Amino acid sequence: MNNAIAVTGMGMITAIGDDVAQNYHSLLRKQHGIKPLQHIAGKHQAGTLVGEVPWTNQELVEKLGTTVPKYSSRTSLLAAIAAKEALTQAAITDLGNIPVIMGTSVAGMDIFEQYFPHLNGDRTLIQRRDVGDSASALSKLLGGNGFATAISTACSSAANAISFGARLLLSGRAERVLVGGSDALSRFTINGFDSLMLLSDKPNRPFDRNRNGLNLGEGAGFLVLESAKALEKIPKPILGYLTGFANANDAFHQTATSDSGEGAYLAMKEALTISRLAPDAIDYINAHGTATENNDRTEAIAIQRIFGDNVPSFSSTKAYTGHTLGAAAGIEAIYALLAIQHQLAFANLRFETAMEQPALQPVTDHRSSSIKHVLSNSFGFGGNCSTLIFSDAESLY
Amino acid sequence: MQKVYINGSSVAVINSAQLDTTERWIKINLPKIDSELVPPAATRRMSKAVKMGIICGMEAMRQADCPNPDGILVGTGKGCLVDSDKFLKAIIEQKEDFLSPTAFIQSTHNTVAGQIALLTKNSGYNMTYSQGRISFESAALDAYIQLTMNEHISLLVGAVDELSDISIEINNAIDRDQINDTNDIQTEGAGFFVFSNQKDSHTLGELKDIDIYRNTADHSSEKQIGEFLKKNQLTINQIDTIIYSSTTVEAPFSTGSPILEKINKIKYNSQTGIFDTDIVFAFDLALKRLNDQTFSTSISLNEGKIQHDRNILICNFGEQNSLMLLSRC
Amino acid sequence: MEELKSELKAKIIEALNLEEIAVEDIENDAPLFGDGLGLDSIDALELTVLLDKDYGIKVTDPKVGKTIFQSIDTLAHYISENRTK
Repeated sequence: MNNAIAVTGMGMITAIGDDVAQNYHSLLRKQHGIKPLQHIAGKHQAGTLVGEVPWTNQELVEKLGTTVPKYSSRTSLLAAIAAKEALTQAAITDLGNIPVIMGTSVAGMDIFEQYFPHLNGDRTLIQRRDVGDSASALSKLLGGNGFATAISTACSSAANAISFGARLLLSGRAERVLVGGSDALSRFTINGFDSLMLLSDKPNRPFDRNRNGLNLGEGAGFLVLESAKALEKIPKPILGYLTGFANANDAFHQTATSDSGEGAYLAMKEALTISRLAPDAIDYINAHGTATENNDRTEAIAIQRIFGDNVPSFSSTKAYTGHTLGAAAGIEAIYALLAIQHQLAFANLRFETAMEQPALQPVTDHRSSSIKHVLSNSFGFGGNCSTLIFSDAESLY
Repeated sequence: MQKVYINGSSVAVINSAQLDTTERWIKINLPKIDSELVPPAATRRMSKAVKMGIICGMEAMRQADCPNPDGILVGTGKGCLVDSDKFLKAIIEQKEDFLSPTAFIQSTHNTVAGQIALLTKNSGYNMTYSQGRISFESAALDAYIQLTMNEHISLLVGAVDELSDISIEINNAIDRDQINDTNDIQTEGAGFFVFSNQKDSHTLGELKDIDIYRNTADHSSEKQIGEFLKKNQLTINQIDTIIYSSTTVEAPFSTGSPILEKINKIKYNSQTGIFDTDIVFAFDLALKRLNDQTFSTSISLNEGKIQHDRNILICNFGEQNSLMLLSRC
Repeated sequence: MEELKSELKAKIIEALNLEEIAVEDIENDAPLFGDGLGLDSIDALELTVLLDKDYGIKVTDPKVGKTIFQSIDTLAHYISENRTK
């Protein structure tokens, strides 16, 4: 058990709740957060459907309860709120030199774009735009003085951040890490996805034959991971274990996935190998499931390649939160852990008809069952495919 | 624990002659990409950052005779700035209408790593780190851990940063309103290396260790360097050259440490100008010195004769600091 | 119609950054996607933007785009029938 990577803290904020408990209750009540955009002025306001955190930046600062630096980005505020919750649960009062690894794609673009191009003549805004500023800002906001770095691989960012954190533990370079991801909505990304014609004008329907695109979302999800050595020194409740993690590249096209779902297949396969679990040990898959034509079809194909005739229960929780980009894997890691905690596979909302090929069916109602191992997928632009596997605290190999 | 060797190295930085100027922003002159290597259908969308990444990445792989590494890791401080600025400007000027998807797609930070994978059909590990001046070191640390733990055998590790006319304009506009007394020349560039846990005829050096840390009151750089060397069973006397960069903080050498004073020190930015990931130049320079090669365009970097360096410490002092120890094989 | 076709070729070369290609190189009936000019799905989106911006035609269904963008001939034909600019 020396190499076990334990999760001792989780924290989140999304369109369906300000913390883990609120998120869980929304999931239970099948309450999604997909609504017309409120806080960003312009062409998409009051029209484009998104999974928005309902608070203004000022309200987020108040929730955080500390003073924040000038021009703090929304991404940073969301990250700090989620990270704080995770640290509190892990009973860590002083972040100290605990490494902070953060996934993000927007970073400070949300604040930078508001003042572009004149920037109020303030260099601070130039700094805020940098992806790296988000990770340092987070570490500093939480009173940390350790190594902080950011990973930016689009929609798989948080999974990769979690994986790198795990490597720091496995190599003995750290005993505890704070890992996860955050992304705020921004004009930049909303217009970007719109220009790619990937947005749906309706609440998204993952894996449904008549799905027609994704809804963007925002939020943050962070975990505290600890090594066995750290837990020997300071024992604490273990929420689950990260038993598998992998990243592979589809190497097919910049934004579309190959028809054979090769990158997804390789990532899942490798994560299973690392976890030393056979496919049939997986009880539930939290799919990437963005509800685009391309992703859901190719992800389903990859799932079929791995699981054959025994595809486990699966669903996409993006039906509740929207696609939170760089935060997605962090948020969905927590949903995976909640599934284990409550022995519940969460319903895939708004699913009616299976795709023609492959005709896979997600769970359409919350399904109670024995859940020991959960697999979570996150796939980003540039063919970046990541898979995480979480396991019950009791059931370690 | 496996060792980590560097089997290929390729950097692209400005010609140092270009630094003889009053301009504050100097762009690199890139050679045209061989259409046999990369079809025009692919290059037509590529920003300079992507082109630099491909040129250097493929050259490093060629040198190492490693056409299919187990993964590709890239560090970038500002990412694909040209396309990001382009898309943002279009949003504002065109009021969110008629927006070009190409600029958006090309603006994601992992475009460089993704494009190299696409071109070389590499389905391995693919990662992009963006943490200002330690972006390269973040990628290098990840690669180092994976190779020492034998997760993989070879990894392409590099970094790239590009200038953007729109950002230059914005920066200049701010400077006009403020007194800016820095005379640092801002440039662009890239550097790619093949890291491997297999030593062979292509091996240029060994990356013995790498560390990233923050300066704190009770943990100075001097102390950190001492601990880093101790961990690697070296004394400061066994370091032949220190190659370093120092931006936001005073380098510890200037605080009169008698031991550090004696060592041959090279501050390399005078040859490269400044870009977030300019540390790749130091990495390449270290490898050249370990192989008794001179650096062709500058006398100052060959100062103090060829020393037959056996151990070189690369230091990057800034908001966060990094230490890398490269040794002769 | 011939003028429109030349105009289209020039616009396509510019919009899609086809540096190595001249107007004379593009045949009117040659396939633009797949084998011919080798354009891809991102180019299809760019052409959709071009249709809107320069000719006032909104194409919202990507499948419709596929038929319109088959060649310069089909594209010119569609534009002349539907343009509002």
